[in-house]
Amino acid sequence: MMDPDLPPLSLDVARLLDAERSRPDPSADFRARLTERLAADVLDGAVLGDGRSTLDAASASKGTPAAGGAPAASPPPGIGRLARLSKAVALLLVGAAGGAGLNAALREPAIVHVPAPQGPQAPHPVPASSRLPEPRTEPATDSSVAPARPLPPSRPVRHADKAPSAAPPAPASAESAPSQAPLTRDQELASERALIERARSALARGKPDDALEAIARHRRDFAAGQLVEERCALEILALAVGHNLDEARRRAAEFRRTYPGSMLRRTIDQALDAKE
Amino acid sequence: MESPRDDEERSTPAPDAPMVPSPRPSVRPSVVYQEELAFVVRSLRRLGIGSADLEDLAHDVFMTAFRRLDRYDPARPIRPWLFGIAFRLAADFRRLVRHDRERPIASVSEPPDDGAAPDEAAAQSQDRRLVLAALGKVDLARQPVFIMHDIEGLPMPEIAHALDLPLGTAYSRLRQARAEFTEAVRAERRRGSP
Repeated sequence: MMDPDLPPLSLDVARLLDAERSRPDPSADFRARLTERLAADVLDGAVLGDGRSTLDAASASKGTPAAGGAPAASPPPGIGRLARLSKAVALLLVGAAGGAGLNAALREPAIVHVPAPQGPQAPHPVPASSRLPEPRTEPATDSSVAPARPLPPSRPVRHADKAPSAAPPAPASAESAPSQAPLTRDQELASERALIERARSALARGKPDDALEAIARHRRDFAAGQLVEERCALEILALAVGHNLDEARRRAAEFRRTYPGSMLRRTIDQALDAKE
Repeated sequence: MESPRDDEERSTPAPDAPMVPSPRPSVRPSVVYQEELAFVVRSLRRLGIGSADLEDLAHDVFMTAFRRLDRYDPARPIRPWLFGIAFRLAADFRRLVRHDRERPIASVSEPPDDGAAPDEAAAQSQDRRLVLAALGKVDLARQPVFIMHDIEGLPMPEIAHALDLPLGTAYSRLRQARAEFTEAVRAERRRGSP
C-alpha cells in the first residue's frame, strides 16, 4: 500500500541518504570483539538465563561503559594453553546444554526473499519457515540434563513414537506420562541434550574416550538431530584432548566448511591452537 | 526415523562416517548474527548511539534477539524485528545516559571510510555526520519509521508490524519525519555544521 499523499524526497536529501547508506561495515576488530563476547554469553547459557545485559551492568556500575554484561566475555591476557583449552571446552560444552537448545528450536527455515515494494534499497534475504517453531524459552526441563547419571541402555525416548498405541503404559513418571503421544521437538531435544551433556561431563572429567562414546551414541541415535553442530564441535575437542590431533584438525576443517558462520568456530580454533 | 546402527557404538569416530550433515539454512542465532551484524550496527548509529557504546549496544541487541527468537515469526523479514529491538534498547540507553553526566549522548563521531578516495571519503563522512545530526532532530516516535523506510528501504507493512502501528499511522509518521528531517538538514547547514 502506498500513501498517495507521501511527498517525494528532495534530491538533496536523497543524496544525503545515499551517503548514509554507504556507511562502512563494522571493522574486523569490532566484529571479532563482539563475536567473542556473544559466543561466550551464548555458550554460557546466558541467552536462556537471567537476562542480565550490558544495560544492566552499565546501570549497576556507571563509569565503566565498556564493561559489558558478559562474565568471561574475553579471556584474560596471558592465559596458558591448557587453561585456554579448558575454557574452550567449558564454553562449548556449557553451550551445548544451554544456548544450543535455542539454536535447535529454530532450525530448518528456508531462505526466501521478501520483496520490498518501495524504498531505495534492494530486498534482503530473510529467513522463513514452513512452520513456526514451538514457543519455548527454555529448551528442556532440568530433569533432561543429568550429566553425572549414566543413560539407560534403552533407546532414547524419541523412538517411543514407534511404539504401538496399545502398548502398556510406562511406569508413572513425569517424563513418561504422555507416552502415547508422539514426542515433541522439545522431548527429542531433551534426549539429545542428555547425550551431549554426558559427553560434556566426561570431557570435563578428562575422559575423552567416554566423551567420544557419548558422541558416537548421539550420532547413532540422532544422525540428523538438532544438536549436530554442537556434537561435531564437541567431537573435535574430545579428539584434541585425547591427543588425536590429526583427526581433530581434519574434523575441524570439515566443520569450518560445513558451518562457515558458526559461533563455535572460534572456540574450536582456540582449542586446537592450545594443543599445537 | 532411522533405525539405530549398533556398529557405531564405539569410542572413536568411523573414518568414513560423515561427521556433519549438509548445511541447512536456518534462523539460528549464529546465522542471524553473521548476516545482520552490519545492519544492527548501522541502525544503532542512526539511532544516536556513539562509537564508544556501539559494541555494548550491539551486544545487547543480539542477546535480546537470541533470547526472543522463539517469538520471531520467520515468515516475516527479520530486519524490522531486529530494528524494533535496537530501537527500544537505544531508547533505554538514552534514558540511562541522560542521567549520567560522564557519558554525553551527543558523542556521535564518524569513522573514516577506508574504501573511498580521500576527498570522496571526507565528503561522504561529512554527509553522514549531517544525516546523523538531522536524524537526532526527528521526533523519537517518527525516527524509526524514517530510518527503516527511507534509509533501509524496508517495506512499510513490515515496519508497521514491527512497531505495532496501524499502517496509516506509520505513513503519517513517515510524512512528518521527512519534513522534520529536511528542516533539520537545512538548520544544520545554516549553523555551518557539521
